[in-house]
Amino acid sequence: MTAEPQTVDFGTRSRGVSRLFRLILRDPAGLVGLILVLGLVITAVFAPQLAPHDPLAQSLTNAKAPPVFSDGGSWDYPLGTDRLGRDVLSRIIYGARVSVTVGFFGAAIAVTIGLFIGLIAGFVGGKLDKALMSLVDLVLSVPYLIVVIVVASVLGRSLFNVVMLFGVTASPLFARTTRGEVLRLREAGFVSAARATGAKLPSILGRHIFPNLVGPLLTLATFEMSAMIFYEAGLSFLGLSVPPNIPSWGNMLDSGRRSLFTGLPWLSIFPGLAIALTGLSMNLLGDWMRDILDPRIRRARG
Amino acid sequence: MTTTERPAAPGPANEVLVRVDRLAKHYRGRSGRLFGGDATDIQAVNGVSFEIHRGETLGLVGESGCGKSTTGRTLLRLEEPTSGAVWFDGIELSTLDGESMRMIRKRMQVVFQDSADSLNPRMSTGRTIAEPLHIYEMGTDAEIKAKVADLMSLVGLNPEWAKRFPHEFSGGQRQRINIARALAIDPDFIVLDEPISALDVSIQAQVINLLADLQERLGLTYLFIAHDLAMVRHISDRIAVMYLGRIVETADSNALFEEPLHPYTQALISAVPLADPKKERTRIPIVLHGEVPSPGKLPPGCVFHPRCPQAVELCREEVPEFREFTPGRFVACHLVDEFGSHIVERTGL
Amino acid sequence: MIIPSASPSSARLGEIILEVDGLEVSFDSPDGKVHAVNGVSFRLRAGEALGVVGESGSGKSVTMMSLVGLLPSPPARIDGGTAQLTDGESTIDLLKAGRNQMRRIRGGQIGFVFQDPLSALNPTMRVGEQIAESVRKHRHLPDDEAKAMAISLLADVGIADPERRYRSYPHEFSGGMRQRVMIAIAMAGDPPIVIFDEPTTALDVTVQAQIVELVKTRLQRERGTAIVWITHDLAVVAGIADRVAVMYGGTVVESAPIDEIYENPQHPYTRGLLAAIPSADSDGSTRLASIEGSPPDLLVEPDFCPFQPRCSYAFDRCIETRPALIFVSDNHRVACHYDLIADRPRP
Repeated sequence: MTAEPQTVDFGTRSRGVSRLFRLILRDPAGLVGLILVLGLVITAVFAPQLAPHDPLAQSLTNAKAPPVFSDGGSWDYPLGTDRLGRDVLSRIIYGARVSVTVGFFGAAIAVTIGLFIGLIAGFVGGKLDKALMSLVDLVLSVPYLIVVIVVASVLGRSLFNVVMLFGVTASPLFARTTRGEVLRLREAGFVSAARATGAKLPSILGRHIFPNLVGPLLTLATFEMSAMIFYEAGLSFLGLSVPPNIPSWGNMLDSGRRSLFTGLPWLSIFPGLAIALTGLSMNLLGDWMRDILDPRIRRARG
Repeated sequence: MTTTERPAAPGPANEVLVRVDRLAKHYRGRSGRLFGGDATDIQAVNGVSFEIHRGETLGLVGESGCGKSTTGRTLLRLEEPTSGAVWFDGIELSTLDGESMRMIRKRMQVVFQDSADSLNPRMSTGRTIAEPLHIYEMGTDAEIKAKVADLMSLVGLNPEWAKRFPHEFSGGQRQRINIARALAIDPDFIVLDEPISALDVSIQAQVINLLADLQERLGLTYLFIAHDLAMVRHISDRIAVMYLGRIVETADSNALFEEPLHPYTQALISAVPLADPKKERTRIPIVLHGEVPSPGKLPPGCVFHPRCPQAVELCREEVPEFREFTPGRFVACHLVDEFGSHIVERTGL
Repeated sequence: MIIPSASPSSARLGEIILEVDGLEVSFDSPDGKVHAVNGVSFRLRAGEALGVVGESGSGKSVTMMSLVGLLPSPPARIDGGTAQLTDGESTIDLLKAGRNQMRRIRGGQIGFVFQDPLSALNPTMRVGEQIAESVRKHRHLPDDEAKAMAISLLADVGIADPERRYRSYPHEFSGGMRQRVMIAIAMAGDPPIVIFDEPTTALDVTVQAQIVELVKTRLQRERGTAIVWITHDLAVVAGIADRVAVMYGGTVVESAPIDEIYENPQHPYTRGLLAAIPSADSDGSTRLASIEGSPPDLLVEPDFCPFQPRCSYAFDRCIETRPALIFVSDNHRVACHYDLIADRPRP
């Protein structure tokens, strides 16, 4: 024991980016997922810089150009052009914006609402808990495709409506997860110890509850994002999402569908691939996150 | 040590620091029926009374479900008592408002059994130990860091480990972190809720020695809750034995082991295997029959009578009073006479 | 051990029925290879009770699980050793037994009782039927006879009103009663060996006393079953074992008859462990002798004495080579480079 006052290093606030980095290097599937998801986000953010053409620019002279690897294709339009001569690659790049917007904001709204409801239900308990959970069950029991169709036909087609709708309908999942975690955490020894020390509620929430909610909610959000991107593509395909003047993978797929067997298959194949790849990458990432954030696995490693 | 050193045990000897009076904690339970089931009360703690003197260790023993941990939690006001009162240093806790209660909490701390569950997996050791200091805003960042380093040295941890996370430590080390956190704000009193039950034998001894050293140096008062009787005897000055939410016997450690008066205490002590094959071969355990009844359906009379090898008619009808027989020796049993000896033994009943 | 076993085993009392030699088991983990068991050797004689004492991570459970093929593989891997099970004339190596053979051995030759009976019992099946299932499997009896036998086993393990309790589900039983059911299941095939893996750790002392009593009378005395009792509690072992093997860091560091271990411990770890237990009359005026330091890191290749970092007798050789388990007397084996009796390094 030393007599002179020592100073100590409390370390990083979370368990360290370097550790996460080390963990992902061990899991190739997770790494692929992470790289693809990052690629998707970068594509969406820098779409104007990355896209070789204006996605809306029509050029009838270049219409129906095949992709570069087919006969008659050129590097001018690597993935070919549609019937109006719009560049498929540029449209896919811009289409990523719709997908990322829906996925990100939809999940953000769902997390926010779910966290709020889940925290109140878990912490207050009693009758309020019962009421909130009944509400959550009610929302979950509404067939939301019907709601989407009603909303789209009444309020019109807009990205905003889709995002709001996805956010609200997915929020019960987050509310349930949050409530479950809160019920578990509030019985945890470290929360009891903090209460015994006289910690106030905001401090308990900030230090002990929230940091331990991040893992499960982030994992769930990744899976939900992937689902929302899928559903948005589906709604676009049905003409219920963004207006046709905004390129999205779903409406590209829809317009390409008619020429799938009439000599222009790339019009539907490439947006289809984009959707599939996005779903795959997010699920890979989500699986990996679930694995490393699972407390049982963490304990086994500890 | 810069900040944690304090004079040992101020105030007169035998000064009562904690007084618990007829403390009870009942939970609302439900019967198995789906609709309109009768709400039965689970009587986890049922009128428990004891005193803890400044600087001493009171051991609280009993088997799982006897209510010993609930007693500790209710005493600390982690759970609201159903009835009864707790005095800490002469102050009745239920009279306190939020802020005064917070100030009292500063002087009472707790260490739980599950060292992993007691530590936030996302907080470094340093931050964990510093948390109570931050709550009471005790010192600048630099002062807090110095104090954390002191505390870590005090409990036998390398201060350089402050940036490590709980999963990087062994169970014994994690329990040292829990103890350091409990000591951070210089408490007078610590509830130790099965602090060594989850540890390996060789590590248990380390932690017990640490707790004994800390008590001596800092003049701490302990409530040591455990089911390992040998350890409890080793560390406690006095012991209270609980059965089904009640204290059945309180005595000085040695007196309790040498001459247990309550039939349950006798059975409990006789059931403990001895780490010595020769003595172990001659030990004759009093094997209790049956199971501990549910705290939702307490038997009438003495709660121990259905399993008591000595029970008489009176035990089935009347709840025995918790009486002081000799100074400091309390027993709740009809079969112990006013001289503190067994009626059964004496009369051969 | 008065009555020779009525079991199908023809082994005679005192005959070696299980001999484990140089068993090595490792696990693959994200952090590297975990050396869980590093050359464990022990012998079990018919009708004898062997206590295996060790702390968490000592490899005591892994050793026993690997013998009956209960380790999930991967991540577990048996890296070496033999485990000869003798049944009358025939001897087989458990580590090389095939799946079907192992299924017959489990329950038929070697019974197993776990620490946590709730997770070992099927929650959706009546306890009686779970015992009857085991009876049917190992004794090939028709359903009604299996049921009758299950009821008599329930009575044997001290469950009152066995006909009615036959129809109960595991959650309706207390921890002690569930452990009795586990013992009944282990007894169903009348195996010559039953391994108990910390069977009383989760139980209260008064219930523990009941279970120990049950095992002593029903298994040891009446059936002459050989018992392996895995525990961390030296006191429990004192009451039940004839012989004790002390494990540390994945290896047996000392083995001897029960009295010898307590009176004449010759490994520093055994000594430390015994000193760390408060004696029956310890009143706190003395300090407990504790073993400083932490349990060994199993990720490190075990080519030195595992106890050396915590050992006050350690010297150069303890870091350089791993001590072998040698005989210091007829029935006392120690794995230590230092001779505690002579108080000098062994030659």
